[in-house]
Amino acid sequence: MTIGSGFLAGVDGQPHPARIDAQSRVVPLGEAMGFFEDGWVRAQAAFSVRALDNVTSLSLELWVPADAEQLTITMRPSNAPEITLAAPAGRVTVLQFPLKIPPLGERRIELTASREHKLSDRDTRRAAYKLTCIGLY
Amino acid sequence: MITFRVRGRLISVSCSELDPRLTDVELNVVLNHDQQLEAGCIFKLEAGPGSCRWVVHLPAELYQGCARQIALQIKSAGRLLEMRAFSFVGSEQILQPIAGPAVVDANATHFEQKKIDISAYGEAASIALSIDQRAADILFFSIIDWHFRIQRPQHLARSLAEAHHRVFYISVHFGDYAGASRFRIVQQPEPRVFEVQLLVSAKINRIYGGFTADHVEQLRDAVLDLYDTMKLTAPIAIVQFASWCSVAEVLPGCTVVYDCLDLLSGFENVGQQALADEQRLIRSADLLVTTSEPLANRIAPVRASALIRNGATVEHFRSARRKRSGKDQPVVGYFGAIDHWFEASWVRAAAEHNPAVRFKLIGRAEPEIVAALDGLSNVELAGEIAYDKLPEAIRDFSIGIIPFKITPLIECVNPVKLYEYMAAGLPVVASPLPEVVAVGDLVRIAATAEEFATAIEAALEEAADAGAAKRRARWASQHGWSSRADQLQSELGKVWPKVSVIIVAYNKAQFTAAAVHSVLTLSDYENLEVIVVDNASADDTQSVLRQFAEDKRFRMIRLEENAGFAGGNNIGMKAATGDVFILLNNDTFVTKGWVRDLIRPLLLNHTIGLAGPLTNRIGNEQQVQISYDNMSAMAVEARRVTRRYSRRLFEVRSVAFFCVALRRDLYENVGELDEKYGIGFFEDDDYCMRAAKAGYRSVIVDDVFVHHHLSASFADFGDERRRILMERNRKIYEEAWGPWPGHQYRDEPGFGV
Repeated sequence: MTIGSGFLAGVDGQPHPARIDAQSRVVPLGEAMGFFEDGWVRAQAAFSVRALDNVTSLSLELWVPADAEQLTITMRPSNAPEITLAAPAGRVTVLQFPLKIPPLGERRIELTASREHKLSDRDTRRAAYKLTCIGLY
Repeated sequence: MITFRVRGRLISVSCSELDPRLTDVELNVVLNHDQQLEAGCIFKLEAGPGSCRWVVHLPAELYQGCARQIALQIKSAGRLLEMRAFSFVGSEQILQPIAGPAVVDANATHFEQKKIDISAYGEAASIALSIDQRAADILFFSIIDWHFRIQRPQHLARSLAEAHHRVFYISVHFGDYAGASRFRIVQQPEPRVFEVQLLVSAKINRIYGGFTADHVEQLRDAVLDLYDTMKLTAPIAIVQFASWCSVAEVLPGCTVVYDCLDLLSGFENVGQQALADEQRLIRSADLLVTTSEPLANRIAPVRASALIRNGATVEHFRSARRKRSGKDQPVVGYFGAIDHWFEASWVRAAAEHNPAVRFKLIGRAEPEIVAALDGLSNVELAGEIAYDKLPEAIRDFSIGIIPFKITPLIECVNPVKLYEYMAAGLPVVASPLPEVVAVGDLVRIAATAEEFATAIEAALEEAADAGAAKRRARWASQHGWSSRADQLQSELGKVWPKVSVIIVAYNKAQFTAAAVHSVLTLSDYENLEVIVVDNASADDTQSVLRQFAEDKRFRMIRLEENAGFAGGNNIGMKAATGDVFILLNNDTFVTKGWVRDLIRPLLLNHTIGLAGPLTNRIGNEQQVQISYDNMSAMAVEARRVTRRYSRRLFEVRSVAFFCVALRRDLYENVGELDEKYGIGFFEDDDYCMRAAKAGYRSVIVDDVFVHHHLSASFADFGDERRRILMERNRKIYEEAWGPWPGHQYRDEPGFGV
């Protein structure tokens, strides 16, 4: 569930695959990896942003499939220590990580999930969770 | 329907599709199934028929690193209407205060991420770096070192430093580059003045022959290191020897002043390269200054100049003034270079004619002059005397002389010693140099040896006239170096016109914000206004851009309907107050000093009407091969690319209007962008054609780079709608101008994709 439908556009003008909330105080930069268009995210994913104001947190709104155990996700920003949080399975969860970026600071952010699996027999893509939105505030 | 989004420590909650008859809709937040969040954490933002919005402050207790349940309940009169729940996991570290003040890092201004050991740049480097309250950063690319004979370069440098500028005086001798710092501050001779030695691996014996291409590259590396390390802002390069121009002009956004001291071709030791450099510099400098009217007249057929004559530090020579009496032994004095232009035969004849008069000549004398004066007991060659000792050394002078052969070089000279003699109150006898003749009856002019001897006798008789001495000193006081520095600052103030940057925005608030931010922080341009024309954006453009509201340079025009690219720009140009407009897309990010470098061709050559930069994405001759991941890297890469093409222009049929500079006179002659083209596409080709028809040329400025995301505003259109729009506009264009030739990349290595 989101307010509005807005995600920030990437450098190609298309919605950025990392689904960054349009009100986030950042501009996406360069290539993102590990994000599928429909929101599924692989265990290894990464994207880059430039802050337009002070950013102090990264919120990851996601859903972990119900038939799994909790999923741990590690956020590793460039030039900062990594942080790990755990998301329970089967429900919408918001993980909020500390992330300090000063105005115009640029960071590459890696998201590493503890596992990934094939989505189904018909959909053979491998993914760890389904992303609703990333907010950087 | 409930929707929510977590934004930092707030949750935005919205509920829609409610029964519009309900008036008392409330949000209730339950934590962990049974704990009511206190009402003080919940704020209703708006309530309309059938919908409501709130924000909820997340309490600190939620930040324990473990999953907590948050339920959002919409109630009316105690009745639960809807509910949504989610888990929230907040890291404890979110609650930790932010260490230190908010600072801008990697801001693509200077390369601050480079860790430097400032002591490697010389003892005075940290002093130079600490001067943060300054009018401007001025670099003297001079013709002599600081401690050589003190002349115009040092006087101007000192006076500008007194006017609160930070001055870097570049030595004409170079040190060895050892792989670390590329310059060294060798001394601080005056407050705010720093003498800089550039470090190179090439052997550069002397500058007067001009620089080779390798020299230029190494010297550019050195001045760019100075630019970055000393955090220069909008530097002003005062070039006093023309060959420095290729070095100075690589500095981003630099105002290059050619301070033309003398008729360069009149010197025997100046090489052809330097003479060619001067011809180029006369045309390319942002400000051309000459020191004398004859010099200005010689250059005038090529370009008009600002005449800023030499002067004197009147206070310095005050101590040389004294009451002279008729009983003193008369002394005919001279100080300065005693070179091939010195009329030794006149001095010899006068000395022989007046054996009771002593002739005291201060300064290094060429052997031919020494030989010509040999055997005269009343002629003293005192050698070079330092500037600070000069007032004492000339206290015994009765008069000052300027006995110069009238050559093309000397005809153009405005002698500094004229002002200094006058400041000391001395009568002056001089050859008929036009600049001395123009002073009038305060000086005596002699065109022959006989006239020289006669004039000396008359001047010696006047030496004891205290009233005449005062008149001369008063004249000198009107020609102090500080007034020359004021003149120069006044001329500098006229160089750069007011520039209006017009940004038409349609949605993509974050792009627009980044573009505006880059313009406001990286332009280093005082006389600037930034006008954002919001083409009825449906997103949060208005609120996002509010962050710039306090900047007096920033204005925003909000349109109720989307006027399209042409219409938006037309509205912006109508509102603009500048003499030069820059139309800039909202999906761009500029580079430091870009405004000056982009508009320079428009100011130097009025046949050029439109100027655009190089970029990363555009699909025409402006596109260069470049790669970067972020804007800091962009700044580094952009400089690497553009320094290859310093001051190079590339003429084209049309430039892309993602970023284009144009003078107001072109706008007034050619008119507005054609709004037939609607939302966009082809209006720029059309405008360039109309400008060409009016006699204006379009150029790409190869030493300016502006990053372009490309088509941010059109991205939401979809391919098909874009194609239809392009086809429609192409038709309009071709009806006016014939078949559209298409755009192509430049056929040159490093350009295109």
